[in-house]
Amino acid sequence: MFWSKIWLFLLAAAAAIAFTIALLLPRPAQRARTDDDRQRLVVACDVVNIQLKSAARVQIDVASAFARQAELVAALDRAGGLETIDEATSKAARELAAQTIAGVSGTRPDFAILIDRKGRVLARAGSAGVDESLYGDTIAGRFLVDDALAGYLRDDLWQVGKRLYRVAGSPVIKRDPPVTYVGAVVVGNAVSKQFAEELMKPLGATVGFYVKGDLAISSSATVLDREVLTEYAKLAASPADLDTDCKSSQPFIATSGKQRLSAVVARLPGEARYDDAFFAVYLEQQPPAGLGRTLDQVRKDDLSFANFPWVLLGLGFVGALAIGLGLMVFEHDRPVRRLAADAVELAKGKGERLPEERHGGRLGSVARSVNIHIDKLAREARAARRDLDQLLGPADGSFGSLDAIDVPAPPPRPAPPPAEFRFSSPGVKPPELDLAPARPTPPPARPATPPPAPTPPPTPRTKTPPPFAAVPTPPPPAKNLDDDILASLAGARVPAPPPPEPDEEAYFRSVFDEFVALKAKCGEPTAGLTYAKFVDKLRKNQDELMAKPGTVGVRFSVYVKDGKAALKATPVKDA
Amino acid sequence: MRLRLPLTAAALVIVSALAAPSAHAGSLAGKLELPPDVGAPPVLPRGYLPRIDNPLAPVRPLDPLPAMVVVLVPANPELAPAGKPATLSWELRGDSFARPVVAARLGDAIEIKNAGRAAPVLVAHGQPQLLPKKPLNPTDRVAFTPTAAGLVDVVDESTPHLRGRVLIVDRALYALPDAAGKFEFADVPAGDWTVRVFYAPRNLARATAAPTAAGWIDRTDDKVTIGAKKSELTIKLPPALPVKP
Repeated sequence: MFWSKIWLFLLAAAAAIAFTIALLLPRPAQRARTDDDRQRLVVACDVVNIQLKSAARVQIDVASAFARQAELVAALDRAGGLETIDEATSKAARELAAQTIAGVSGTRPDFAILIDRKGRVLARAGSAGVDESLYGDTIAGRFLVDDALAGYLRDDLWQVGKRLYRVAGSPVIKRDPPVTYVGAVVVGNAVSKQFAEELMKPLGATVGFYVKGDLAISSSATVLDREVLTEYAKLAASPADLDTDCKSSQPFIATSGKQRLSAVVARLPGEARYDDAFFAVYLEQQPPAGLGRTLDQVRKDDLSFANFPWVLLGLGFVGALAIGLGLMVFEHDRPVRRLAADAVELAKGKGERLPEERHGGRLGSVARSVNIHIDKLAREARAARRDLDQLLGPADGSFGSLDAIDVPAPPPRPAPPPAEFRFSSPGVKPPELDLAPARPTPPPARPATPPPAPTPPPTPRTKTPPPFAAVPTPPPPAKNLDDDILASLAGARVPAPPPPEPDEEAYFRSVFDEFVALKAKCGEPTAGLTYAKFVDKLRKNQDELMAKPGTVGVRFSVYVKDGKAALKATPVKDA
Repeated sequence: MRLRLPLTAAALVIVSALAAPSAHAGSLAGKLELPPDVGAPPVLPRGYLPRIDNPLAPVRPLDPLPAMVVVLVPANPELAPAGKPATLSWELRGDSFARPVVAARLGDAIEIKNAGRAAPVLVAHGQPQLLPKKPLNPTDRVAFTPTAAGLVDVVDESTPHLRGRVLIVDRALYALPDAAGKFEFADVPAGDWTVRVFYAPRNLARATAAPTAAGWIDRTDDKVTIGAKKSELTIKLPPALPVKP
């Protein structure tokens, strides 16, 4: 069983390793997925900046085109010469601006502001972000307006009423000589939900724009909790360039109600930056991928022959099974069958002992134990013979003819069974026997439990078989070796035999008479020889011989040996 | 009753004589001459793209004159007239002041009048006691009186661009140059004076941050002696307009 155990150990170790791998594998996958999400966030953040830059460039182009409208240049030139701007002038300019907005192809500005050379608003026009009724106020001072009045084209982000507007400004220049600056024009677009959605459309993330600690607009209904403001506070004071925010700020875990999201924040430039404007890009965070969740995500095609090594797995399974079964047959089934066959042969009387050398390991121990018991029976048979000699004559050997029955001497015995070896459970006591009649008795017909075997002296062994467990005693046959053992251990305490049968009694009487006659003939004394003792001894010898396998009867014969009467017991074997 | 009229007349003559300019008072007129290349306007906080020069006309150069104050410092401090405290009106026009830098004498009050449509929260940087921290609604006014000479930075906490600067002078006279750089001091007591130019560039700092540096233009100050005649002075300003505290 050694290799079977090794194989079982290897299979168990392989199973444990496989289970460990199955539990561990989702973790690196989860880490890789988290890294991917982070990378995706950073990319999305960068893309937002790139798209906002691109949109700013487009807006500047629109503002520049706006500023080149001849009517608009003329209107601003006239307004710059006025002490105050009147409503009629403003209205005319507003209509002009509205027409210009309508003529813009592509993304139209939400509003346009016309500013004269003094920095005063000539007119406001548009659908959002401005109050068209207002004019005449000075908006010079704003960074974008000052730059535009100085001759620069530029963009900016304005916060108006907690809404963000992307704006672009352009100087308005009278190109007819003398070339002069006559004012500036500002066009603007609100950072709307539609704009945010378009930013995120190719990215699959959500973007939220924040101003003064509040969410101005988001591309989805998901609104981050306050953690996003905490993260922005860490970034707000950074002296680093705004363009590096996406790459330098670490993605963090934010919540939206019960939803967990990975997010990254970046500051917005322009005037809005002074209003703590920033944007956050966020993705829903995937729950931790354990073994169960990983299995849930297995798809049908994952188990196809193309994607899964079914053949290899099947071969491995069959191989492992074959090795296991082979080891079982080789190390267990065959030895047991061999021992069973030997036991059957022994039972049939085709052998005197079990061939121990054919059996190894524990089965060898079993064989040795059986052989020890057989040897013990033989020793008891010889002891019985000596008792008969003592009974039938004063050490004259007349009963020594019992040796003639050729009970073989036991071969040299191998090492005795281990110390813990037991024929039967020590707790099982032999049954109490009826000792009353001292007459010849046949072997007891009822079963008996074998007493504990004498403990042999410990012998060094290379391997010590485990102790035998208490073996339940099966119902014995009519003549059982155990009965004899019990009888021998109990000495004269032999259970009372049933009354002898008339034929057997007559046979014993005839043998007795023949023996007495022969003794008298040989001139031997017969005074102490009684029939009762004689029969008792005969029965005892008969029982011992009957206990041998294949013996169906015992025949006694009287003869002269060395001038003295002798008795010979011969077992009758089953044909 | 006959004496009342002559006495009243005499009193009026005396008061008129005291109130009239000193017989030794003079005046100083001059011009600030900018260096040939004052450079481009300062780079303002930008949006996503840096500003781009327009392709049709040269960009306007920096105009530092509105940010300058010419100050006349007497050799003898007692020469400076100790007039009654006055109130200086400073108009806030929407997103900027009518003039980015103004000046006042110590003890004068500065009254800010909101002519715009917004309601900025104006504070004096580093001197929170000067201005009440509350929105200045359109058409409202707020006055403050500096208690020490120096520069007072008025900032709007709600916008990044609305900034104004007030130079407070003590025992000195001041004049603001016009768009051409011309300035004039009238009724200057006769005596020796030093002409200095204070330059306060646009304050681009955040409301809570230290304001952009300002100071006296680093040059050799002109010494003038004011007499009965009108004095003329042309002040050449150094390139890059360096300033010192």
